[in-house]
Amino acid sequence: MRDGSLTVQNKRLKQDHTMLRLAILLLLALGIVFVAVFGQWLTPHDPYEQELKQTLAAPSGEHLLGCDRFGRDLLSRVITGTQTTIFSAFVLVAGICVLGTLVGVIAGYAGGWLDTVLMRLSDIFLAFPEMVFAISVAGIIRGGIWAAVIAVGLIAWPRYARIARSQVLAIKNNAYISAAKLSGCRWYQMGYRHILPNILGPIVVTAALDIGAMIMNLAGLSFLGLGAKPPIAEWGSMMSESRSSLQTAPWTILAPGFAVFITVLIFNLLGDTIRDILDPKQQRRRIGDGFVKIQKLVSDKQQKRRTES
Amino acid sequence: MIWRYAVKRVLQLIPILFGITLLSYALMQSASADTVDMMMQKRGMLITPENQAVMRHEMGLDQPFILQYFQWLGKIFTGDMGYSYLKNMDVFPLFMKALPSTLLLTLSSMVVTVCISVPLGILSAVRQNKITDYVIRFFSFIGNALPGFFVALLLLLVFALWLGWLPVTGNHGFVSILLPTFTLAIAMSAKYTRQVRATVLEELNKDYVMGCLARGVKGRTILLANVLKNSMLTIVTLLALSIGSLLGGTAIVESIFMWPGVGSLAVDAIGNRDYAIIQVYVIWMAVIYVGINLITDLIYHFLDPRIRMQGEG
Repeated sequence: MRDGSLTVQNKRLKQDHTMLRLAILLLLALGIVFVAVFGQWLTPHDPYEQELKQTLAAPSGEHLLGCDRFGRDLLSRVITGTQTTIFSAFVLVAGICVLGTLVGVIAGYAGGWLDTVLMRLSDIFLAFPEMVFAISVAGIIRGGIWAAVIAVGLIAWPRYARIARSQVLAIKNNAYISAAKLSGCRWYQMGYRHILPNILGPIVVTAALDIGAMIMNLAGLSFLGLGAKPPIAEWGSMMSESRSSLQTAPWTILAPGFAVFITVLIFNLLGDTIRDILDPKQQRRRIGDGFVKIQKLVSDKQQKRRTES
Repeated sequence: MIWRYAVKRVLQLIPILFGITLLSYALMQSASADTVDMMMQKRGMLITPENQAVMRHEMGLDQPFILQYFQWLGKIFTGDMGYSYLKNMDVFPLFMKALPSTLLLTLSSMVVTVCISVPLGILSAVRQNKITDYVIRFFSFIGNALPGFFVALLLLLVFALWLGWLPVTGNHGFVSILLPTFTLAIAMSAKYTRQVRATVLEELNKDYVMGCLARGVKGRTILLANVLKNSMLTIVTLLALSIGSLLGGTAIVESIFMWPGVGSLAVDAIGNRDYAIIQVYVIWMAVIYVGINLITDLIYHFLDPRIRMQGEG
């Protein structure tokens, strides 16, 4: 039966070109990661060198995206900024994913008072609007981009704990878990061999969809001056630095702005594709097909009747 | 029955409120070393270890944490939420003065969001996998990937600076609310259109829709009389639940447009390390958020006959 449903799913994925979509988006995402890793060798200019003659210079052959108000090359700064953005977002998502899953699995598997305590704790965090909390915490800690990462992470992990816990509760009473327990399985073996592989799907989907949102959150905090600080080249802080030249030199805002936009777009699309593959239950694309088909059938028939009469 | 459920939900809220205040207090406490130094500078005292100890004693900072917390909680209940060094006044009236602006902005962007995304979401669902659907989904993807502050700056650039139709910042009556409203509404509509689409599609796929079609009821009648009526509850609930992201999102947008709400108040306060304002901001935003969620949940229970009847039957 498992084989059967898998074949059906594979067929569906082939029909939708989902795998092709995944391949293209993965390639694009890897391209961004490549820029993040090797950025310092790709920049046409030194991102921190101030060329005062070039202050607020418009895009040209020499400076493809123009210069900011200190005469620094914007293209080089955007490229350099990729590193901060991508690495901080990846660390953040990985961190909340691991922490949340750990808490959720423990709460779900142990049950009892431990479950109650951990879930009440996560309820408290879930009671805060995410960015309100993140702004305040980042404002208190104050330590560059990593303070922003901690602030967002602190408020975001309970979502993963919730998902992990509900997944564990769903599989906990399966026969194979009891069988593993009866054959003397250690708790850590139980965790990583029997529980984790079976609950990972929804968690990975959530994490993949979260990367884009987290990039935006971190850039937003940097924009408010609560993340990466000038002169560090980071997209959010670059935009906040250039706010005063919005009218005279809009490219100083547009360059980092579109960098955030394109990056988030690619990671969002990638997350969506991963969801389509891993989470067939969430597949809503075919839902409603019946309605459309029958509607067409009915209208066809009506038309036929009309032409006949 | 609904009353018993309401009482139960309100009682569940009490530990959450304790948690919110405790967490906020702990956070501010971690910044209290700063506060002592800042107070001493304000009063022109020399910062020596002895003076610091005196000051800490005066502020009650040498007592056990839990004791301090309860003393502070008692003060909150009497309306004393601390003093702003920056504005030289109690923070509570300061916050309450700024709150209406934020609520107005939240409300107006909700209205715009509903006006944009409900029709588009329904249209996209009915025309599923046709060109209209693809265009709507394309734009909702774009809107989802645009950070609020970038949208704000783009709108400023186009409508205020290039076209000169709207004022750049500040509060000049009706027109100045337009840009912040649309900034918030664009991001929210993008997300919400997809949710409306998914909800309507799910409803369209139910058996009764096919049954009606088979009996010859017109597609439009089914859509308006049954499908929309049935999916409205979910649509409204999803909207209420997205208020949380809106309350957080206003902070950045407010500070860009210098909208005099609680968000820009808090951002200014962070810049000046005025922790009392931040504290009042965090606590009240959480309380408002929790309150909205509670009301949504109760309305949902009240309106959905399936859930309402459960207890009675």
